[in-house]
Amino acid sequence: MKRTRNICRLAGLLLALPVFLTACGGQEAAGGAAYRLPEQPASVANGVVAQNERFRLYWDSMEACLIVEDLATGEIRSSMPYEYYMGEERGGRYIMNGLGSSLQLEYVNSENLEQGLASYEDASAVEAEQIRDGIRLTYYFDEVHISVPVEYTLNADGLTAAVQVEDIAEQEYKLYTVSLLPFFAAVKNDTGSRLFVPSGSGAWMDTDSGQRDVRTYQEAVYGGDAAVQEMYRTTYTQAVRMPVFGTVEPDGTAVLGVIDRGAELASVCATAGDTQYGYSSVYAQFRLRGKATAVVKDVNNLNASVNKYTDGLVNVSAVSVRYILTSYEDSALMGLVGAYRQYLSESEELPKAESGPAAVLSFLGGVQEQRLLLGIPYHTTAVTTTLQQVQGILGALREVTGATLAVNLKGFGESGIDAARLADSFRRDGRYGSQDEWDALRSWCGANHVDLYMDFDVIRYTQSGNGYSTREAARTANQTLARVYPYDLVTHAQDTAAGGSYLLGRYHLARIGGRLSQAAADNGLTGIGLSTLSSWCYSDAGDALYYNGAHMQDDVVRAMETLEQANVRVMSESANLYAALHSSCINNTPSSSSGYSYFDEEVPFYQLVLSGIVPMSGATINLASDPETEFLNSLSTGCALSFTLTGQTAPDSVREAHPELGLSVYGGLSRQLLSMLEQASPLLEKTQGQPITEYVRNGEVAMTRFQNGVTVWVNFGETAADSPLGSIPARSFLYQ
Amino acid sequence: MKIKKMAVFLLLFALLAVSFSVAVSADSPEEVPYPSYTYWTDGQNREAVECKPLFIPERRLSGQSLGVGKFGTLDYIFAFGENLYVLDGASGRILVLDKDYALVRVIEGFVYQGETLTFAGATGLFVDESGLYVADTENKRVLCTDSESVTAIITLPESTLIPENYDFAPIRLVRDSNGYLYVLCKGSYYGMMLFSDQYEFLGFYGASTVQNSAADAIADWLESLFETEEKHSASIQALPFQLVDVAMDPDGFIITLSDQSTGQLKRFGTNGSNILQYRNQFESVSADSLNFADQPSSYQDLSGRYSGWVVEKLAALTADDEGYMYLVDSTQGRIFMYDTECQLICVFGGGLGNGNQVGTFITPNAVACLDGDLLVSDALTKEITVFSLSEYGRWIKTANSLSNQGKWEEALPYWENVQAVDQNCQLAWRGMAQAALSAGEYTQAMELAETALDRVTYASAFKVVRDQFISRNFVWLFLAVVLAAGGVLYLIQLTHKRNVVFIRNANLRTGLTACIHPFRSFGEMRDYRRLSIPLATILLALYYVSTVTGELGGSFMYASMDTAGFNAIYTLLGTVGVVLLYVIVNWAVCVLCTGRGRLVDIYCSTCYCLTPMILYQFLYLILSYTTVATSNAGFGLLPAIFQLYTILLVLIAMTAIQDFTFFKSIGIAIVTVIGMCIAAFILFIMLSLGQDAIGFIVSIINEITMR
Repeated sequence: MKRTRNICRLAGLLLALPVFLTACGGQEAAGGAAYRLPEQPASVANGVVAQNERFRLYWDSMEACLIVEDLATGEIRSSMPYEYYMGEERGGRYIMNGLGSSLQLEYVNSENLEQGLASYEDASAVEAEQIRDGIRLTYYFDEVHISVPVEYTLNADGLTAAVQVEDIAEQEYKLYTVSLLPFFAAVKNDTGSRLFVPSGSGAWMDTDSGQRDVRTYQEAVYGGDAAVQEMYRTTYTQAVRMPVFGTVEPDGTAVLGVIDRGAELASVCATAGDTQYGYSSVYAQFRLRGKATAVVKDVNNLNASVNKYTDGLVNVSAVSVRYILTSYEDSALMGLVGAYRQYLSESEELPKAESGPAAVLSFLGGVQEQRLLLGIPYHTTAVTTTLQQVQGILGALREVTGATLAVNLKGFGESGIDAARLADSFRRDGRYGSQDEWDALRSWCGANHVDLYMDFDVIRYTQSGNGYSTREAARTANQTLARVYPYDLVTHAQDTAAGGSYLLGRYHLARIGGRLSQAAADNGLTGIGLSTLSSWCYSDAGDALYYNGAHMQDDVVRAMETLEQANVRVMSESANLYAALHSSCINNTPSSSSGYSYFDEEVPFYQLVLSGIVPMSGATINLASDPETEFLNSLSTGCALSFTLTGQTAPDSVREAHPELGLSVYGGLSRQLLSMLEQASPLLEKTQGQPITEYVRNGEVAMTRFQNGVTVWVNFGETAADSPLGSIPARSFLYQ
Repeated sequence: MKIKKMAVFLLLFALLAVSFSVAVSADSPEEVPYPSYTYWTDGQNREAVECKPLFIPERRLSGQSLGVGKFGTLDYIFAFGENLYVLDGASGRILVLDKDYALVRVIEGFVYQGETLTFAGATGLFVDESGLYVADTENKRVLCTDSESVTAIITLPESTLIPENYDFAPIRLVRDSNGYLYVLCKGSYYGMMLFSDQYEFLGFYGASTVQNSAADAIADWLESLFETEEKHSASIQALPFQLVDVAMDPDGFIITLSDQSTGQLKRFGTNGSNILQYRNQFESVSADSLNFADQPSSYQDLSGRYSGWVVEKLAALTADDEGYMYLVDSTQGRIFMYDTECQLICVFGGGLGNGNQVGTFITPNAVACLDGDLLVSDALTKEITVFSLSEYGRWIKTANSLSNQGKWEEALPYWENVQAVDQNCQLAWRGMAQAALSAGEYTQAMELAETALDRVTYASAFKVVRDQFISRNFVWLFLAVVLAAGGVLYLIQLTHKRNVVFIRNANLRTGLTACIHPFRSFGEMRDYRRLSIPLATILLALYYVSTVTGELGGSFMYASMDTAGFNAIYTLLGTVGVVLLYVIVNWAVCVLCTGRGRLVDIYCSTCYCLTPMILYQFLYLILSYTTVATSNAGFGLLPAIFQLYTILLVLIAMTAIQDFTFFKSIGIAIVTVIGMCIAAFILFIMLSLGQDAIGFIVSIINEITMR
């Protein structure tokens, strides 16, 4: 009887458990302060509110307009386009709300729909307080009971606008996004000005209007939140890797916007050729609340998407954008690059690349495949590259070309390149080679000055083990475990049948550095590859601290600093800026933008900024749609060549899931690889590690000058082109 | 006790809810904004595999970039010679561009009898040496011009062949080398209108036919017996599919595109029938049954963004100078590239209505080839995307063209280049296999053909290898056959003349000889209870094992199983499961019909009857590695013979065991089959209900957690 009662109690507890878990699911933030519109909002008189050696900040309370004057050059920037501000004509409510607003926001209404408001017309009051070096404005939107305080402060090179997130007040409506100073970096249409957007390697948008429709752009910084996976992926895009944007004008003036704090929460937005406003602009928008989307059936039994938002705001004190007012002489691009490099060098201690490899080779060790034993399916790992093969290939390349190499071993754990246990339990698996072969490879690399790295995927996993449980994985705003699925080629939909991987809980990610150091020591490694950690950004709604991917930068930098302290080098891949600055080498840097039709020119902004700071390689040549162009791109930006290789053909059964294995067999690529290395390594030996001082692209010909005086001319065209060094054959290069 | 069972059930449920881990992979970065892929085909099976892009989007052309202002509409593009003709129907103009896409001239009208005829509302055009032809849809006419002045105007002809109320609204047109004009009208089910070189109407050409089978006809007749006049008038009439585009290939054949689900692409011979065929391994099949779009070509939208279903719709067609045909899907924005053998070369493009990246589309509506480039126009963005052929694409086109001409050895270097950089190209493997076969490297040809899933080349190479093996080892093989035959004859002599019994156990002997002496063996089972349950179980297990071995272990030439998706559980259900179900149902039926046999008798006798099937599987294994395949049918009637013999043995067993007449046994067998279907249906219902119950509980839990 007693036993029966105990069993009943246990069963009851099991059934009631989900209810309790949801009641206390996640450490949700309490949200901001309670909204209260002051009876008499504080104000600051019109006029100068701050001044430093170079700039003066004015405040116009009537227009709620902030104006920054460069005392050195006389240039003036304002929250409303200055020409418009000084003009007598004012547009209607729509125009003024757009041009005149220093803050725009989106909130979630009672029907769970996102709606927008702008400060000029929609803010019931703007409270102003003088602060050190600037002014604090609190925007009160009484209609929705939301107030947002923003501090505008002058600094040595311009203005910083910072939303004080912890002081945001809400009531029944939830704030979702905030856009800061949308027209501060605006330029007038049809003046030859351009917008710079950091899509992939970078791109220009022209600001002509009339001949083309208005062009709008928006991309999330660092690729957005990987934990919130779109149900469909219809096209590929390149992620934003640097939290920066800008505008340039033909008179040599330029504005560079750097997302100082909260870049993980931001998107870069741009509007070009808007005839209604007459101005083109680029700005940052911050997502201050987590969001997840669920698909449910509506009354007609059709699929409908429903959004779920986190209760609290992101757990950051503030998010900010720093506007740097700068200028350029000959090249607008180099002007922005120089301003950004200056900013980076002042913000933190930048490494200096002494030299770098001529080629970065990524070897793919193994892959999971399904086999049959008497018809019963089971999974095993098929070896695609052995350690002996790695050494053999490296030996052949060194012997023929003498090029300096860097090697990243990917998928040499128990599950190969597929995710299973986190980072394959941080150890190399014996099926790729014995301990002796491993020691031999390391010795050979050491003797031949080949930098050897082993890659660990510390984000994705599908099985519990080694102290990391799938139950502790990152969660979505629905408090369900976030999963990342591959996409079906034909239907573009998530291929849930293929299985999905979990994302490591952010709490654990914040402490991963020690584990990685241990892994390096255990495996005798002096270099570790962090391809996913350096390029992914994701949230964990199980903890308010990590809503929307907040603090990802801090966690990754902490992990990389731990490795630096342990004298372990780090190879990153398509690295976000924060990871790039702490890497010993960056592989597979983006060589193009997302290719939107309204991009007027692609530029290698990413490579120009990081040249001389961190050794880099270009995009992976053998996986590119046009290997020759990628080869030339690498040379023109002083990047090493990048290849992904396998020692042998992969099983046919993995062809569909891993097409890259079919593009990477060394046996077929060896000729191309050797030829390219032989051509490129003499040049790359000279240019690797050298900052780029000048870059000009004129049609199909690009000229790059390095700090050590080396100049490279690259002809991307199908016909020969002239250069000061002589005629450049089609699809070729010259250097001096 | 009940509560304990409930707790165990709960625990089991919790365990079942844990998902099995399956590996996932990383994506590789792309600088074209869409995946290029092809289909690996194995006869009927198709598997989409990503490949290197053959075409790379270079740029977009718009009215603004050409300096003529925005397009009113972008209705059609057509390439002839070194010029591209762009039809802006709403503005009534044709832009002529050169091969560098610079504007040469703008045509806004043609001279006709002293006046200028405009063509606002035109939606199609065709250009050849004789002139320029405009499908002036809005004005319901075709303007035949010499590029400057109108030479003829074609309006709705008077003919008894043309139905009343026929809407002559030309949208596309083509002129062949004989000067015959093929005009496609909007909404026409009758195919194209054919006009002579003197513009006389000759009739309709190239209509799609309505597919109807005898079963459909019988069903229609039965239905018509019971429906009222109102219902009959409201019934849906099956009409032929409409043609949506027409073009001409470099050999002068007319090719058309229709909106049906298979056979969308047709190439008409001189007799007006579709001459396109594709190879399904050993058979050459009419392309009327080939789906030229994706597989699946329609699927349910999960997000709710696309109104329930995404349905692919091929909307535009062209052919290049080498005969490659390009089909454009207006839903997905994809371009399908086929050769004249209906081999899919690649699929590229995309956007699914979100065409703001170069290479993606919202509503692509026309395609043209100019100087090696491929151009696709988008009706909504009013821009033309220029795709250029990559080096990889050049290799594939050259190699494939040479292979199709039978010049395999010339094609080999190109295929090797392709295969070196992309091992996901089935055509390359196939081409290399054919080249190896042609060069006499048969073993290599077999390996390559197996990788390429090309059974025909494999069979050809295998034949030679086998013949060589036989000729090299003829003496030993002959000796082995003679010895084996002699041994068998000796054994037979021993058993008959000297009454030697190899199997002393009577029960075993009865079971093992049941397939050669069924009446005697089953009679002994009934009369003397000579049955062996272990033997029966072993035979049942052997049946399962041999089936699995046959499906997986057979030679590549005869394999039709997709081993990647194979699961022995299904085979177990299909063999052991079916046998056990038969035994139980048969026993139940026989009991009702006062049969004498017991359950164990039915079980053992049924299992003994499986011996021919077991033998067949092993025979199949031997034959599959020794005989050359010549058709998709495998061994033709051989498996059917063994199956029929097995069925016969089962009937004999039932007759003997149950003491029925033979015809009664047949009746009992039919009832047994019906009973099995009912039982399977009930099992399926139970399984489905169980799944629904689990799904309901899971959704409750989801609702609670997502509150």
